[in-house]
Amino acid sequence: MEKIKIIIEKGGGDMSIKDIYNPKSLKEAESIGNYLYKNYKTFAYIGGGTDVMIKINNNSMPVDYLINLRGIPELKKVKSIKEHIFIGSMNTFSDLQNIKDIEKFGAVCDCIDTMGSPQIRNIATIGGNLINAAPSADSIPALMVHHASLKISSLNRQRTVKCTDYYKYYEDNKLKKEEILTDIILTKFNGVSGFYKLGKRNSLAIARISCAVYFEVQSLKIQRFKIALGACGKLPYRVYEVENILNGKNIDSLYSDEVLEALQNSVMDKLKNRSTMPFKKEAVVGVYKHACERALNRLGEKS
Amino acid sequence: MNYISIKVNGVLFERAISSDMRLIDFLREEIKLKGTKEGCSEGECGACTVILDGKCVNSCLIYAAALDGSEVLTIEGLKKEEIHPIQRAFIEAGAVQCGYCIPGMIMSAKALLDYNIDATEEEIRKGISGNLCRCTGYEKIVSGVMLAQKYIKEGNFNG
Repeated sequence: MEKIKIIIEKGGGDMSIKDIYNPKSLKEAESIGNYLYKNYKTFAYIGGGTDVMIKINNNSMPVDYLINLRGIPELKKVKSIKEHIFIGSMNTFSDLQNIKDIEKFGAVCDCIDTMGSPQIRNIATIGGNLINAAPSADSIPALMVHHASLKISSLNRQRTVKCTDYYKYYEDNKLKKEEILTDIILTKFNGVSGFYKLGKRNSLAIARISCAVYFEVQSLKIQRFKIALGACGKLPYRVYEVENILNGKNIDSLYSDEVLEALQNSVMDKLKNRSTMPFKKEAVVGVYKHACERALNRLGEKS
Repeated sequence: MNYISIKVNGVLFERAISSDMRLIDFLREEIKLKGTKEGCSEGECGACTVILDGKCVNSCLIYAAALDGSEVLTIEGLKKEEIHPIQRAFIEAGAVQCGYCIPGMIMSAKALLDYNIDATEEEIRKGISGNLCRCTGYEKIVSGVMLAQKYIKEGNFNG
């Protein structure tokens, strides 16, 4: 077995970070993480760092060591195998724009286009956005409606979790200290999707509320309808009540009173007495309609 | 401590730095290039924008220790024998008031025009959407970028 030499140097002075490792392979990164974990060192894996660095600077993430994953080629690879696309977790949002066939995932394209700013999109990684698990994370609703899966690896095991389940059962599924998200797996389906977020401005906007939808249309009937909301609670989530109403219904039911009421009830149930609830209960209708319009425009392009 | 080898404006720097040093700190404090400005420290204003390996980034959000082997271009690196067409265009268009956002704004514009010299006005506005300006209202900045397109296409500059 290949021996990997690990050197930990103590920095001088009162530094918040004692050392940053720059492994060149996944195995090396896992070995370093395993070593630090077993020796009770506080550490974190870092991708683009746009979330981690802010947390470290405001003392909400006290770590002594960082393991930089950006230089690992395996985590930047993109592979197409039959109907699946495996996207390495260290691909930046800008990198995602250049992936072949990404246009088949309309909601993902929409969120790539509006996330952060050009500067942020050049650094922030899809993996970091997912693992940071912010309530307003742009990529999570878009990936949820596309049945994305997350491939997670550590020195001793690998696991694959559906994106929806990862956040639905977050405390059980969230990344363990020594684990690394390696790939996001997308599956090509025949439907269309759209994502829309409401922010305070056009760019550099944290979502106040976001929505992603996916559906297929056969003989004017909606099939496989999926909807996910973001920034409406602790974590993004699928709205099964609306999915159950719409599947099998005629396409002109997309904006029916029954659907919109179920959507609003979902927001009220999630947010309960929070001060933002009255606003978001109304805003979700507009955000949902915008997401559907983007998907419908793609349907028009297909036919 | 981390040992890094990083090229800034074409010059190679090999240094031992503290692990928590950000790229903006490396530029301003370590190698004394003060042109890059710090605004918000959170990647929200774009004042600290530089070009890293060909792409515009917020230098306040990157650890220098993670950049071994990288190349950085700052505002100081634009001028050769004469000022860069983007700098000239900004001056002539009246795009500069207090000047604090301008280094970052110019670097974002450079990254955009290097990628797409024929960017439309909409693409220009999107390309600088990560840079905030409290003075100008952005119109003359956009005009400045469009004027820079003209100068770059004319090609009569050195550098």
